[in-house]
Amino acid sequence: MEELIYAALALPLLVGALSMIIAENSAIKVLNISGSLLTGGILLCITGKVVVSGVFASSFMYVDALSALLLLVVAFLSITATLFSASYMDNELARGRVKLSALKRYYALLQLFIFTMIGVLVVENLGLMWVGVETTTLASTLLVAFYFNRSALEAAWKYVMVCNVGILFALLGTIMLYYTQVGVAGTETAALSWTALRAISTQLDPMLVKLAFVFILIGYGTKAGIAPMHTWLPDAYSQAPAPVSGLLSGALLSCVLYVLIRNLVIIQAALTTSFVNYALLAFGIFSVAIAIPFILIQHDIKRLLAYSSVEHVGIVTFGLGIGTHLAAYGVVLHILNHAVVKSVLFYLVGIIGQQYGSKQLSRIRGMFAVLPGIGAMFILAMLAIVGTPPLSIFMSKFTIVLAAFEAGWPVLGSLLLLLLAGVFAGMMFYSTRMVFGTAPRRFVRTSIGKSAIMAVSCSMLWIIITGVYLPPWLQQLLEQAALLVARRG
Amino acid sequence: MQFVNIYLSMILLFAVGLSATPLLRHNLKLANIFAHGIATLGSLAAVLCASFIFVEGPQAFSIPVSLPFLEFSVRVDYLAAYFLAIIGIAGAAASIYAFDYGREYFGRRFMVMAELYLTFLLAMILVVTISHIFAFIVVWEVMSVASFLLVGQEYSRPANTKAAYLYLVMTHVGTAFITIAFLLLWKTSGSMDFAALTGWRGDEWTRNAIFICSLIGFGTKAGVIPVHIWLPKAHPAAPTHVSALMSGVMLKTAIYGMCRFYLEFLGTGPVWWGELILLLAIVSAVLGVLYAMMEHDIKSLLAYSSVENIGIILLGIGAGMVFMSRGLSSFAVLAWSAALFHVLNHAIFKSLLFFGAGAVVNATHTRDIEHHGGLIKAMPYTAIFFLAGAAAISALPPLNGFVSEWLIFQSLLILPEALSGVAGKLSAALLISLLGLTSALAAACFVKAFGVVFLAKPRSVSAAEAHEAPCLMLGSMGFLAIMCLGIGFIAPWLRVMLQSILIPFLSAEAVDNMVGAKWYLLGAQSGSAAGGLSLPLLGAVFVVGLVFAMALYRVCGCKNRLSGETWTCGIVPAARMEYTATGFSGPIRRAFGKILRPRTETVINRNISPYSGRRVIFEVHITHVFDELVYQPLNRYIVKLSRFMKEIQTGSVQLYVGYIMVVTIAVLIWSTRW
Repeated sequence: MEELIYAALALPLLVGALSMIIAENSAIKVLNISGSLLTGGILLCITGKVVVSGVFASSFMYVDALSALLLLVVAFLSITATLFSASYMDNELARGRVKLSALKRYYALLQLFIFTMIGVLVVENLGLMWVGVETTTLASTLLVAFYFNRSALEAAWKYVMVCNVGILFALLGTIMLYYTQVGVAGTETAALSWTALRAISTQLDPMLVKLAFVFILIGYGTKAGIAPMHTWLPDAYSQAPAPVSGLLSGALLSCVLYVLIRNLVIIQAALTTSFVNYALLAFGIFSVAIAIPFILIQHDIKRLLAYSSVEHVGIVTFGLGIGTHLAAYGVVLHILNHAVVKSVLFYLVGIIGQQYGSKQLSRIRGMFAVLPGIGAMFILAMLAIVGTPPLSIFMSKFTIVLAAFEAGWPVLGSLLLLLLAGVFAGMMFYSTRMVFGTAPRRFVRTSIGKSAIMAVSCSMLWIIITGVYLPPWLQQLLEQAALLVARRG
Repeated sequence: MQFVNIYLSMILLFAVGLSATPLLRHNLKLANIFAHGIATLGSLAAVLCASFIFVEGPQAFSIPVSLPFLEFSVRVDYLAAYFLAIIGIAGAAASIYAFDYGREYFGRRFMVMAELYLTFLLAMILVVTISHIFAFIVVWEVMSVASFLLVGQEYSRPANTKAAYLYLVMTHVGTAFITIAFLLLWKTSGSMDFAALTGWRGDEWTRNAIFICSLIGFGTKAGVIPVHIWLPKAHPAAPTHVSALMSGVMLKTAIYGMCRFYLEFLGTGPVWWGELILLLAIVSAVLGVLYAMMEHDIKSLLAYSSVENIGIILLGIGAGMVFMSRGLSSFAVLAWSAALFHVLNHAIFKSLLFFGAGAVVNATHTRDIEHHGGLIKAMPYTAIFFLAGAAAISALPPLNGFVSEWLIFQSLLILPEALSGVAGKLSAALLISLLGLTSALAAACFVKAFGVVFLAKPRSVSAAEAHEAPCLMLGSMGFLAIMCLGIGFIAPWLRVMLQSILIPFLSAEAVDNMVGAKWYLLGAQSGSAAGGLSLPLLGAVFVVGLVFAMALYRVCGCKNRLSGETWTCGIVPAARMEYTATGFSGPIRRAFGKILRPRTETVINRNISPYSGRRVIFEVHITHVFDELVYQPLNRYIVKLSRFMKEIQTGSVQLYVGYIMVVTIAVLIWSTRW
């Protein structure tokens, strides 16, 4: 098991380094796709082992159902992202927006980014997790700035500034946790070890833990995009290349939520008051609500999707706030579903942007007429992201609302449903205008590329199938993960 | 033969249709026959299922699905079977119609339309048979999305895109309310199965919340004023066989939902529930028919008429609920069964009228009735069938529309007994007179529709060149026209059957009370011995009278028949001299000027010499009160608020970091309270 984890960590680094050396586009593509497939395969093996034989723990590695689930997300998304990148970057090369040297840098950074995310998920120590999250920022900042034009640099600058302020808060919170740990167990035990902390979590000093919680929530919340700390997110998502946006929104966001959940497990056990729940519920509802005006009036399709990410983080935070087992199940399922749907939406938008030569919502018209296949997938994915049954996100969204009713918050649950209807109105307004109507007269269809189509249709299949059927092993994984997330007692 | 087998083979049939139709995409003719053949067979299977229930009694079964909470449980009681039968009948007619009509769409995304049509039909069948909260919401939303995409079928027209969007958003908000209503039920009962929700008892607050949420949710889908705005835009935009199903059947699934909630789950409630529904109903009926009267787009006219008919159905339901809360179960049986009867009738004649309209639009390529005229000569069969539908919707005896409207009238006549106080009695009387007004206006509206479309001379070249609809389209129209007549005659027996549907929800004794009474005299003599008239006797009198009149005409009638041009003071009669739709609706527009607030616009072209005649363009626009007073200001307000909110994100990093600081401090202060 340990060897597998090391392999999963080493492989992206190796592929990234090789990408820097190789001088030919097609070779880089083959290398990266096969590398990602291999990494994905190894991660799947790890997940499978966790399903079969339960938690794996070593001195500083720790993989349980929750991290296995997130590893699954990272595996799936890194495969689709590299597959999609191959076609996407071919097109960018053909258009002259990207040079071959930049392409090498892109793939190297992409693999580095994947490595950092896997790193966050496999380490056992809360301090190391913090380090991992910080390295993801570093790797992805360069990817956001990839085009090196004015707006991309501005977006990257905002990203790194705002996120670093946030991440410092998280560091402060983590240090406070360490301080409480020392207070209970002394300096002999492994500092900030998650298992050690969990074992003594009920004895931690509630006052300090509460303080730590505030900083951790604000800190990781900044990175995850919880409102009102989400301000960097629309710029970063809209300026990054499409596959990176997919990874940022799908995988990175999930990883940060994972770290937040790991911290919450300890915090919730230590605190006897329901302050944590109220704070999470408030931030959740606020994130959904704040996204609505930006979704209702929007001019850029990628910013639209970025605000939708804010909304979905809000739903997850809301679910965490409820804290029951049912809600926890909804939360882990929602993280999985959102990752797949949002990434495929960013890929599709990448294709659409290349076809229409614009990200402006007002320029994209009549997709059914000129790009029927892409148009159909786009409207389906849009319907999925706003939670239309029988597509996958509906399942998790409904579960979270159900949990709100079950836990005795029918008013909050109803409020969430109505706010989501507002989001729906905005998202569908732009989607219907994009797919219906007639295309601009100057529209010229260009080739899309097989690997992009493959990446997108794989994800679409996943969205449609998991809406009505979850394989038993995944079901089991979700149940176990939910047991970890749910508040005990 | 077990019910499960019939039901599952029906589902399987649709599944085969859905999965095999794409394989035929290279041969559209075959695909057309296959897809709509499956749809026809599936609809007939639905009718078979329903009749099985009526013979063998309610059935239920359940198949677990590998998802948490989700269970494919089906329960078909008499109520569900009745709606299933309606879907089956209208679905079969629409599918037969689509054999010919679908060819219009060859090369215009025909395959997508056929697939969506099958999905839509299947979803409606599932909606009325599924008995599990989660599964119900899933199929309900699938039904909405399928019909949304069908509304967007002709996406190149910008108006259709807007209509589709409006429909989708309205129906989604409605679904959110329905979900809230169901979840409140689930929370207090702890079960997702409908069977366990029967006779559910909760506290007052929850019951009222469920009532309001379900009323908003299902009301939106049913097109009750003031949440009707999507309906007159979306129904005309869809292909005709889909418009017919949306107007005739899909609205009824919302009525089905109301029946489930108000008869089964909530049961008897406070009087204000019924009164609220009565108020919404009468507003829908009167305004719906007024707007229909003013409409020149034939499909929009029919759509507004659906708003009116939903109002009439809700009058029955509202009266039924008032009677229930006053403990007058026998009268409740009368009102509810009248509403259910009108559901069937409206499904039949509205589908028929939409089919007729579709045939006319196909022949003339325009939906504007000002450009029709004289079509009775080119399309005699379509004209006759449309006339039958128009007569039925205008509640003329002996057609079906008369029976149900008469029953609703009778239940309203008893209403003063149930409403207390002077205000109650007066408002009951007002309801009766307003329903009378509605019926009269509906008749006028369809006189206008039939007269302007089919009579006089063609007003446009395309109307002059029109040709009769193909035979399968005529066939399905003819079938529905015969149904209109037939149901009128078997009404007494149907009414008894309808009342037996209500036995599980209202007391059996009350139902028995009403079964004995004669349908045409219920209001006057319910419970007591009825008069000696019987319907077959009336029919016989009618036939004898007809024969007598014919004989009289043969013997004494004028022998000489002369035919010639109408005398018009020596000018050759032309289409420009005809009564236009605008002219026809003029008196009513003036009489209801306070509500409709017409704005006229006259453009006179003075460039032409006055001696050779001026060109005058006259236009009338009416004000849609709720559009202009509620929705447009609301829309503006939301946009304004959103723009204001967007100011918080201006791109300044200092500000963004400031937000983080402020929030941190706020949360830290908040945390001290715990």
